[in-house]
Order: sequence, then C-alpha cells, then structure tokens
Amino acid sequence: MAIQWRPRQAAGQATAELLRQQDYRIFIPQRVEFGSRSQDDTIKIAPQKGTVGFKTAAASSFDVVAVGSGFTTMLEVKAPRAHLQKQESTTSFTLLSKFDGVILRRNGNRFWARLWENPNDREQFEAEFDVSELYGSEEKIAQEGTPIVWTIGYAIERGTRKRQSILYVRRVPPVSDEEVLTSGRAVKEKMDRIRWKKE
Amino acid sequence: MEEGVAPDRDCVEVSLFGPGYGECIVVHLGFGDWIVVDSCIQPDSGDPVALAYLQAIGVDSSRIALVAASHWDDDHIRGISEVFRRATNAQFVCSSAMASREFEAVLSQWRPKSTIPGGSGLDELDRVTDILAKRAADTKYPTPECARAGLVLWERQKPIPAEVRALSPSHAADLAAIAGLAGVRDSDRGERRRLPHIEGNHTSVVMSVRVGTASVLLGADLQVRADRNLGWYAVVDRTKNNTRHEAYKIPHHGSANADDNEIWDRLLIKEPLTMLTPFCRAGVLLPTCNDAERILARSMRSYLTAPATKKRYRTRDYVVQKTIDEIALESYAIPNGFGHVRLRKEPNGNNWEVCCFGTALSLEQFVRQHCRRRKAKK
Repeated sequence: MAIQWRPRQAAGQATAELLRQQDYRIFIPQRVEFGSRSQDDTIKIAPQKGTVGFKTAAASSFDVVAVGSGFTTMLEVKAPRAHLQKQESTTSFTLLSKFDGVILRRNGNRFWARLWENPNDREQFEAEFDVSELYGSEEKIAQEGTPIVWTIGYAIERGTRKRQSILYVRRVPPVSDEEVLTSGRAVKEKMDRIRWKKE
Repeated sequence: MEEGVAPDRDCVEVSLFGPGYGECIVVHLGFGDWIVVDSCIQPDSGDPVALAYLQAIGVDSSRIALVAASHWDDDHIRGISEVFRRATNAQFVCSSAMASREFEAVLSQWRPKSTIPGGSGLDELDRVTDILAKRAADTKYPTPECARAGLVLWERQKPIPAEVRALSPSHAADLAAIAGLAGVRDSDRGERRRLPHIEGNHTSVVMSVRVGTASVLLGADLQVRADRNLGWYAVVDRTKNNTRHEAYKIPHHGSANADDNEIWDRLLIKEPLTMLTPFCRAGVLLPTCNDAERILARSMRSYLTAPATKKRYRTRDYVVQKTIDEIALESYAIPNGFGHVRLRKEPNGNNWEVCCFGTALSLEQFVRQHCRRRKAKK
C-alpha cells in the first residue's frame, strides 16, 4: 500500500517547528510498521487539504499520525512507543517575596502603587517606580487602577545565582458585554427601588 | 478602646478618628442621639471605628440617627455600609450625585470588576445601595436623602434644640460632580482594573451641627474654587454672618487648597477649636509643615489624629529589603497608627474639653516634634 507523504522538506520544517515550540525531545521508535487498520479499530482521519497534523498526546497507541490531502492512511508506531520527554531546564527561580498591588497614580514615566504580601496585612506599603521597571512592553497598559505583581527572588542560571526583581501587570480577563449587561440590569433594578426623599 | 467612658446624657461630644489614611466623625447631640459622618477602619480589629467606639462606650448602634457619606473618596467611606447596616434607625445622607443616573452607570460598569484586590469606595456605596434597596419596601426605615446647601438633615426641639444642617453641595457642584462621573463612565474600555479616582471633593457635604450653644462646622473635603458657585465660596456666600462656629473639622486634611480667609472670618469664631486627620497616599502627605503652621497662625487650639509622617517600610528579609530600596524610587509604610480627638461640652458650659487618645496630638506638638526636626536636617 502506497503511502502518500507531503514533500519531505515541508513536513520536516513543521516537525522542527513543533519541536522548537514545545521544547521536547523525541525518542525515535526502533520498529515502525505501515498499513491500514482493520475495520473495527480504524482511526479515520478526514482528509485535510494542505495541512499536516501531529497527534502528540498519547491517548492511544497511535502516537504519531501524519495527515495529508486526499489520503486516509495512517502511520502506526509500535512499541517501543514514541515518548515525549520534557527537557530539563537550565534556569530556575527561587521566590523570596511576592507582592500584589494596584497602581494608585501614574505621572508620565513614573507611577505610585500600593503593595501588600497579604491583603489583610496591616503592613502595606506604597512605592514609586519608573515605568521602565515593568516587565516587557507593559508600560502602555499601566494606568491608575491596574493590578500589578512584584516578585523578588533569585534567578539561578547554570549554577549562577543572581538577585532578580520582576514587576509585571497582572493579566485579568476583560469584562464581557454580558457581565456588564447583567450588572447593569441588577444595578438599575436596585436603584429604581430606592426611594430618595423628594425636595 | 481605652476611652471607654460615655458622655453625660446632655453633653455634646464630637469625636474625630483617623489612622494615617481615613477619617470618621461621631457626634453625640445629647440625650442619646448620635450621628456618624464618614467611616474608616480601626487597624487592629478591622471593624468600622464608629461601631467599635459606640460599642466600647456602651451605646447601641440603633441610637444612630444619621449616617452621612460626605463624599465617595476611599479614605472617607471604608466600612460605612457596615455602619449603616447596623444603624437600623438611621437615615442615610449623601450628595445627589450619588443618586444620579451617571452614578448608576459607573456602578454598573465597575461592579463586575470588584474582584480586583485593593477595593474602592464604590464597593462600599454598592453595598449601601443594596441595603437601601432592601429597606425601601419597609416603611419603618427612614427614607434616604440627598444633601444640598441649606437643607436641615436632622433636628430636635426639646429638651435642648439641636440641628444638623447641610451647607453644601451647591447645585452647580452637584452638576460638576455628575459630569465627572460621566467622564469616568466614558473612559472605561472594559479592562478589569480598580475604579480610578473620581474627583468628588467639590460635591462634599459640609455640615453645621448646633446643639444648644455648641456649634461645630464639619468641613469634609470641600476645597476652595475660583468659581463662587462652587466649593467654600458658595458656602460662605449662602451663610448668614451671625452663624459662626466654635469648633471646626478642617477640610481636606489641612491642605492649602481647602483654606481661605473668608472661611475663618465669616464662619468661625476667633481662635476656634480645630481638628484634622492626616492623609498619606501615592506620595502625598498632608498636612505639610507649612499647612500646620498656617493653621496654627489662625488657632493654637488645633489637634491632629496622627502625625503626618512617612516611615520606611521594613521587611524581615535583608535581600528583599535591599531590592525594594534599589528598585523603588521612593517607598514608605502605610501609617497604621490610630488616633482619636475628642471634644466635649456641657450644655451650660463655656469651654470645650479636649482629649487626645492613641496617636492623636496637638498640632503645635506635631510642628515641634516633626517639622522643626525636618528643618534642622535640611
């Protein structure tokens, strides 16, 4: 049975991309068999024009599947199965302190924030920062009311320990239209019920 | 609370509470009638200070006749919903901006964002309106009222006449505040963040409290504006010359933008008794030494609930401390001291008795201890 492969270069590029993105090491199986499956346990892959799919999660014994346009044949990998093993990182971070906070005031390239380790702590503090201290390109989204996080700790890279401070904006999902609508209805209903004394 | 002695039945008492950030006034109008203006949290217990104080001196919260939110700034409103919830016989008073459609719109937009840590004054007002809506169906609860200049908020004829009158906001101030709310509403792009500060000082409810011969002016955070329809000039222009007050809660933490000679000359007696709370937020510290000296030039009988000073924030970890000091351009611990200035006057007495508790001190003492030292350092 003929197996149709996508041009080698394209498939190779996609695999390399996948490997790079996920930082995985793939162990190549020792024995590989090709062939169509019997009717009861066939995994049908719908033809997808011009795409290559990789089934990397080992939910079944079919660990790697190539899909091309106009063919339904699959690649079956037999034991030893293909394993995806996470590569050990060479960097780590030891947290010493983490402060949550909120921006109180922004004044050009500087901002004031109130910070705390625990919201119920009596010991809170306020600090002024230069916006360049913010991680990445978060300068624009840092405005009054924005929640922030400040972590202080040690970054350990290839055995070398370095003190590190990371100040970043806490990413919170935006309020959905539905949430605003629901809230608007509840507030309106509530405010309409209140009888203010007339003049 | 250390000061757990209730005033005599006919004694007028004005208590001003203030940690480094926050303000609350509790007034005994005599004969068991109490009012609460604004609210702040007692740092030790986390309870609203008005309730903690009344409980400490054995007064039931049902004796509170009026709960007033002078304006919506965070430092004046923390815990006010709990005070109002427990004060089952109290009328709620606020500026008409808080009852406006614009306020409703801001509340609708910011309510889903209340999960942002740090809280805001809007959350408190949201809870207050929840209580008002629940109580609206039951006629046993007093109807809430929007304060406006000249309105009598509470009065008693016998045995000693007493009156609480709003001297502000003016109609123009209400309109300006409502416009401010509309600006906040329009600036919202849906991002989940804490409600930004809404300028509300010009819609502050200034109150004149008179019980027999005793008279107190509670200045809230009202500022002086160039337009005479707004701010203190509007109050001064509407007030008759013969209504001068003996005691004065200085507005806006003693800042120069809330002070004017016309206030002292037309609304207060000569050398009045004055009191104020400090303010420490986002690098702004009030009163400054210049403010303190300016107030002392008007009255030596001035008292402050806590010294307005910034203290260095200290952590136990040396490395964390070093990093904070290196990264932050400036940092300081939120002052968590707590002070209470108490004024009492007997019905037939001529003088007020002043007591300071906790971190409270006279303004003169503050200048002596802190300002002169700072000047010497410089």
